[in-house]
Amino acid sequence: MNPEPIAVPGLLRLIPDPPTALWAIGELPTVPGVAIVGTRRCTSYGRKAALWLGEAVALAGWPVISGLARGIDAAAHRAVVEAGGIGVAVLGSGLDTIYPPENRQLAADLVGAGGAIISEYPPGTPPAPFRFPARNRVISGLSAAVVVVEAALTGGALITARLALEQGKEVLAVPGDIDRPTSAGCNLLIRDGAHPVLGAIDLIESLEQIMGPAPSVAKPPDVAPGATVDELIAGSDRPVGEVLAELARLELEGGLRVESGRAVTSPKKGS
Amino acid sequence: MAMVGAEPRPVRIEVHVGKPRDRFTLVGLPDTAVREAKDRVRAAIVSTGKDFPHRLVTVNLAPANLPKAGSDYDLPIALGVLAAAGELPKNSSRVVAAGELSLDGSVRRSRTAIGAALLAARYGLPCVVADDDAGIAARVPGAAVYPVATLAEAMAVVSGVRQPREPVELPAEVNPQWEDMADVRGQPVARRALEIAAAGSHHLLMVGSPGAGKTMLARRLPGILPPLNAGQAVEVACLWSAADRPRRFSTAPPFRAPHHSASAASIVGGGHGNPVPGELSLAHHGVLFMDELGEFPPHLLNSLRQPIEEGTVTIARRGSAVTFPARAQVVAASNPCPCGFRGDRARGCRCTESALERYRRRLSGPFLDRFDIRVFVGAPDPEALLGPPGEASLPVAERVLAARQLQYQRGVVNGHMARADLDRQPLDPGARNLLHRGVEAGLLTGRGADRVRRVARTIADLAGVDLVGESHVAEALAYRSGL
Repeated sequence: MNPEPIAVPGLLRLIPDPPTALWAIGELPTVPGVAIVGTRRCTSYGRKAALWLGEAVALAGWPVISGLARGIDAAAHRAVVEAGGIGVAVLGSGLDTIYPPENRQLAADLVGAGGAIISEYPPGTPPAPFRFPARNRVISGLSAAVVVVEAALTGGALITARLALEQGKEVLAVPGDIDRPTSAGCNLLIRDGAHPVLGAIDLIESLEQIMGPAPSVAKPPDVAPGATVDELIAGSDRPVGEVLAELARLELEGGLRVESGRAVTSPKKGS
Repeated sequence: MAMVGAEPRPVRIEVHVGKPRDRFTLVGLPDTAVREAKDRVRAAIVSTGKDFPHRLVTVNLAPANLPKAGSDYDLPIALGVLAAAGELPKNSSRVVAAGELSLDGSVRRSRTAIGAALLAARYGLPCVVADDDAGIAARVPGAAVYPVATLAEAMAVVSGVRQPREPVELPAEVNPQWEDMADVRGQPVARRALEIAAAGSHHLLMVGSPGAGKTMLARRLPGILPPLNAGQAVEVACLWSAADRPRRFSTAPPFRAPHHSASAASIVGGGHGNPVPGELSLAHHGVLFMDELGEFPPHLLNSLRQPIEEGTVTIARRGSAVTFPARAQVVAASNPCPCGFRGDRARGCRCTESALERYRRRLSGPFLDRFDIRVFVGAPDPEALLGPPGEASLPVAERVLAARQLQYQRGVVNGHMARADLDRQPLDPGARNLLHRGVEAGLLTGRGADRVRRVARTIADLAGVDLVGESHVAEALAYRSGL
């Protein structure tokens, strides 16, 4: 698949310093999307939240815009692909260089699922740290709202949030423990007026107030990946072996996965 | 006798007394300790009041090409010299002897007493050992053990002048007080996994946060394992004496828990000079517990792989190789991630994805594939901790023994079943179908499928069922995922 130059969409021409050119692989959606961004050095909490919220937004029918970075970005887009949604990855390099390399497959999956990878840099432009903040203004530019899942006090996710505010977009943030450095950025955003995201259903309701009714009526999952196997056994009057056998059957059918002693209700592969 | 690995080989003492000349030579690949026997033997014979022959004395330890080590040849060499010098009557009995001589003629304990007793039993000869060794040597089935305190007594016993004494009975075996399963509250999955592992002698991996009770569970495994039979107890005793460890002659399965900083030689076996059995062999017929599996150096885990699979350790030494039995059940515990709290609801994991990935890479792969059963051990529910005690070890041990007896009837313990043994175990159509789907879904490799079948066999044995059914395979599958 070769990068094609495309016209800069109207949505993107409204931001203060719009890109002058745009290359794309795949189909860039015409409706505004929802950006889901966060730290590259995510924790399992952030990853879980990104998977959960990415799936919810995809099921609601909005495109999910992100940066294809390690960590939160990749987890959110992986969830989108698995839920069969549309995802747009905005790169900070030419489209012939997917960075980081481990997300090449994810990029291909996004395009394969009807989404796109785009860049304002011509093919042949190498990835470089100074291009990533500029890339972030395109992410927020394509979105009606930016959801920051996990962010420390420094890092690209907060830059994206600031750019979003400058562009007049809504910012939402996932709260975290107050002693968790990787959530300090999100908590700060909430203190400064960002909508706290309380769960998948709450997020969809907030987004509907910003963007109007969701295009799809699919119900977002109302529980985060969850209960421990020991709890399931304690809550059942069947022998341990039977419960374990039942879980194994469900796992084979693909309706569930057991990870770290927890039954995770939606089947997600690692991102 | 010489020890080749943990296996005793007979060594025949040949003595020639030649021309009058004060010379004493010792041949037959003796090491330094054996060569020094010349001086101890000479002094002990003189101290006993006998003349050391003033002739050319040549002692050959046959077979001459087998290396001999240690001071246990003192007593047999002295008896041989005395016999050749005519100090013992011609009709003296042939004996298997092992013991170090002190300069005053008293007999000291030897490292190879159990091996000597095994050989003596095999050849139908009496076994002459020091008093200190007699008790344990007498435990070897079929061995006639003559305890002796001095060289003079040994001469008297061998020549039939004096009736041999009865060996001092070892004090009645005190079964080690294993901690009880009742202390484990909650943890239904881990308890079940431990029971299955015990019943089928399956290698078990427990992954979970610090303090969740992995070590506690592992320490309770020997208490629910079936006791060793006499033959197994002798094998274990032989290995322990070959490693020069404290005396052990017990039907309780051994439990070894080497620290992750221990050297590869001390765990696998080897060492300088004469190879000695490592922790894996000391845990033969018992449990080798590896806490903090991720902390063990990768090269060590690699060198453990084959011995764990085959049940033996082979140590190659300049042209020759020594094999130690090492049929230990491996129980390993590991944190789920570098910070240890992955999967822990209360504390939550603080590891970055990249750190997690590195940790998984270190732990994953061929070594982890050796574990038939893998379980996640989460922090116990606070309510369960305050609740009633769990089921005690005794009823669990009874179920384990019942399941094990079904396996003994088939001739092989489930954890040791080879492909051919597995193929003799019929699966019902539902079980076969489920296994098939597991392989198709990419959840199982071929080796993984074999492991599931072994564990499913054990689950069926615990249920007292002859045919391995769908539910048994399904449960066995649950012990392959979930980490």
